Amino acid sequence: MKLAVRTSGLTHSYGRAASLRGLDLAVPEGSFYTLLGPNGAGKTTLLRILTGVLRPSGGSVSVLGHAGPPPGAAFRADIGYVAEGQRLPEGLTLTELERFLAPLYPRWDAALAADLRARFRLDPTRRIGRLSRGDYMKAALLCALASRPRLLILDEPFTGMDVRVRDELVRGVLGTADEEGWTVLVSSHDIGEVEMLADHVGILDEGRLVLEEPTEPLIERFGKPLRDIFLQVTESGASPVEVRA
Amino acid sequence: MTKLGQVLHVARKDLWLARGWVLGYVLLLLLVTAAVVLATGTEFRLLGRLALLIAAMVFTAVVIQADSPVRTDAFWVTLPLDPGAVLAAKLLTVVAVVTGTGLVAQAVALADFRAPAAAWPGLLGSTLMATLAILAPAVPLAALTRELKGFVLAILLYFMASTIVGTWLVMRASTGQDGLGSGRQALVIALPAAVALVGVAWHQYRSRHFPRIVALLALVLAGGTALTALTAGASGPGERPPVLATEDAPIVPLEYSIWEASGKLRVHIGLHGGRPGRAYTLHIESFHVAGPTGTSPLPLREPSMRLINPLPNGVGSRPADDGARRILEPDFTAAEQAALLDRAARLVLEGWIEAEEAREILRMPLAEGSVGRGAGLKMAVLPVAERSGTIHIQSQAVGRPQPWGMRREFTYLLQWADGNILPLRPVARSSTSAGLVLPGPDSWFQVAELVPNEMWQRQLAGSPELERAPGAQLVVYEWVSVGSHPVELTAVAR
Repeated sequence: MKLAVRTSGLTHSYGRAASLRGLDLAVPEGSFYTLLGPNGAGKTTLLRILTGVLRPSGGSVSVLGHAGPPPGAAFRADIGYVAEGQRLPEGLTLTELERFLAPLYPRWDAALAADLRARFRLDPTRRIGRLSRGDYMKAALLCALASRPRLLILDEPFTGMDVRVRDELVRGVLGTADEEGWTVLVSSHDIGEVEMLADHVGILDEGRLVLEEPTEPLIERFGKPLRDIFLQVTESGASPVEVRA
Repeated sequence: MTKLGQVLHVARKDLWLARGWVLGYVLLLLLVTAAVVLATGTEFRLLGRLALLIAAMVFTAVVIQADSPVRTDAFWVTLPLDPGAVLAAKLLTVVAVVTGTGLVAQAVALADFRAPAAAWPGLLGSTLMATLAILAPAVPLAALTRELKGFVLAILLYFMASTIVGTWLVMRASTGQDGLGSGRQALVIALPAAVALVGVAWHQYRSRHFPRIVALLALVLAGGTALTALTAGASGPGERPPVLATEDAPIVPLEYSIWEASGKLRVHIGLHGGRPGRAYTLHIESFHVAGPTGTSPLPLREPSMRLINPLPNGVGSRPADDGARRILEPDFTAAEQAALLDRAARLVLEGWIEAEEAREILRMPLAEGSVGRGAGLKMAVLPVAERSGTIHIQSQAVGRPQPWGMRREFTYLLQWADGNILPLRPVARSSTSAGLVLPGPDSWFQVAELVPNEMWQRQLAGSPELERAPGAQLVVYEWVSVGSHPVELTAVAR
């Protein structure tokens, strides 16, 4: 199985506080991988390391075949990243933002951007800073998708959104990623929103990956919904070895 | 996209994003320039320039923080952009807007002042340096802080800290310890400091993991040194103007002798061969007694002395004094005095003589409210209501006659309609450093009272002078350095 993301013994700390403790992650290429975990589990830190925003304290990372230190600018053209609280250039309109991003991405798809704009019902002439929270995230997602990334990383993209907007976004991501065969890595602490999307699930707790399996076998093995599995795993404080057993 | 392409692309985006700030800055610049050109609103010009500096720093922060290197939620960090290209784009945007438009405005003001063409590079250069000195700390501080509020606090702390560091360095220099001496020395310190400041920002963009406290300390030290160095400027002591070919070669050597009077040895220095329109200043670098037991340096209270200052021919001045003489009274020891009188020791002077030439730079009707311009000088005759029987003028001058010179000095003459000329003396002067649109050129604003000699004052007693002088003109001369000659003299007592 070809992997889009692989980490081995990955560690990171903010000062003395360890945020990742020897994390081993394997995201298959073309999969829709959901990273679950309670607040403070280390999901955001992990995703920021994968995009090169943060540097790991130890261990190894390989993203889309690039191993070693954080890769250069060209590599980021293969990654789309959307995160809760991400700051877009708020003084630009969506059209201006698209015009800024297009030359940076060799595979920028203006037609896809126009299609998503219509599907998300976004006003292209409105300044980003004046968009509602839901539209703001839709704009961020549009930018990430129109760049046609090989790996799409979404960090809590649906937090605090109403059901309708969330549904629109999920369908936007699902539809496009499925069509293009991209790898999607989504982090969330809300199981309901991602249960229907994920074909792989990883559960992160206190900086360690306590579980990592394809979704269907996992649900079959435990014989209960993903939400209950998550609660069982994170509340038991079990080690990864115990969980797999 | 190439790195250069990224630089231009990000710079274009930043310019568009900050277009409101750019517009505001340019508008303010236009207002200050208009105030300078129209010679109105002195207070506004001072406040306007201060507002320009603040606006320049805030604009810098806005541009840098639009793609902050310390925010992990910044958009640019996830884009296929090279960090170096992003920083270069920021620098390009800030320098183009602040310095570029500032230099244009400054050039407009200089043109209005009719600054001599030869002085333009120096004047614009000093504006460039002063503006960059302001931007140098603003760039890394904006890169180190997350938001505008933090930047404002940081820049205030920075200026406080660098003032302390700068004062300490200047004090060390003035007490003869390590410090900042000449302009050349200052430049040696200022250049690495400026590079260090930009280096801090570059490191911040590259790593985004730089310990802030280290960066801030480095910044304060480098900034303090740079500011002090730039402030020290090119007015370092003992800098000799380049030797130029003048027509005054026959004046060298000077006559030089020592005399005994009232039991104290005096040194007489005389100049021969001077010509009208030229002023001569002797700069003494080394003055010592050379005797059989060695040399002994003599401290001088007045190492630079003007020997003769004749006005140009044709303006009613006296001819050049062929026997100008100045007297020095060094603190000789009794042994030195005895040795000199016995001719067992000699007195040695080493230095240079500088020649200046009087040039007419402005001629204007002596009528209230009239404004004259010339060679970096703008002058207005104040209304009668503001005067009290003498001529009051208001002037602003920019630049220095030579980079090594001090503040420009003018000679004023009143030329009557019948051709007679009377010298005027500026008294009761009040002057403030004013600058032009941006800081940089040595520029000052002055209100002065011009008074004639006593005889003329008696003639005009009780009447406003303008009524007695219909068609009179105010003529302004300036002394401009035209060259120098090395001087080395050895004398024995007569």
